Amino acid sequence: MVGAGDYVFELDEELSDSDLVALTVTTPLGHRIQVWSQVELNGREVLLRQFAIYGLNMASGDFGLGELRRLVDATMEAFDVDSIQIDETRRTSGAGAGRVLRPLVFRRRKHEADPDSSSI
Amino acid sequence: MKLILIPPASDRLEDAFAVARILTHIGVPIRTAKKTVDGLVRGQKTFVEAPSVEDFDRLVRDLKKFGLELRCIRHRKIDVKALRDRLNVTQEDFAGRYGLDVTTVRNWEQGRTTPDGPAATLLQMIERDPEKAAELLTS
Repeated sequence: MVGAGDYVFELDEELSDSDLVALTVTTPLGHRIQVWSQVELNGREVLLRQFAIYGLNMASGDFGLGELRRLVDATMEAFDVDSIQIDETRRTSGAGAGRVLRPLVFRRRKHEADPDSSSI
Repeated sequence: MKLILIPPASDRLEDAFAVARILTHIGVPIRTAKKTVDGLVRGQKTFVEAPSVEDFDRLVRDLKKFGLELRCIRHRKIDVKALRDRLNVTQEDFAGRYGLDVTTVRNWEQGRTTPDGPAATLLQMIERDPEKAAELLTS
């Protein structure tokens, strides 16, 4: 179990296998999210393929891009990496389910005093 | 065993990992379980080969807890001669009607060969609805 910024990450060993990683994440709001993805680590950059995210105790619409951004920020902190790219994936639910989404790249936010601070 | 999983009517899978675990326990590889769950989350009917189902009824109950309906494709042994007699047709007519080789039909009836997977599926369809099966095979 790993934590960062009130997010708690639990590895599901039964559903993880070499580069396939299954995590259950508890958010500060108490939402529980299951994340299942192939993970490729290149130095301090992480590439996620076949990325899927499923809500456990959430209503539709509880988890938007802002929440994803916060989750990714916490993930980068917890696992000490500089960027996470979610490769081309399909929307699994909601409007446009099955639609292919463009890759998303998230970079770790630096301290506010750092002028090079950047994000998506 | 070939399984067909039908997603919840609510279009929402409550616990994807729990469903995936059930699938891995019946011998479905992890990556296939992931693809299956992803399909179910998208509201798609999914097909999966499960090599070690010991208790089908229990599996039905376990998946039902997550709103999933389970069906399986079972190949029953069809008595081709009895089926043909029921339809009151000759071997030639039976073969012609369903796009089969007459020698193959003869071999099945005489027990020299056994219908394989696709042929067994076709025979089950013929047994269930002979007219519809013939209609579907006719362009």
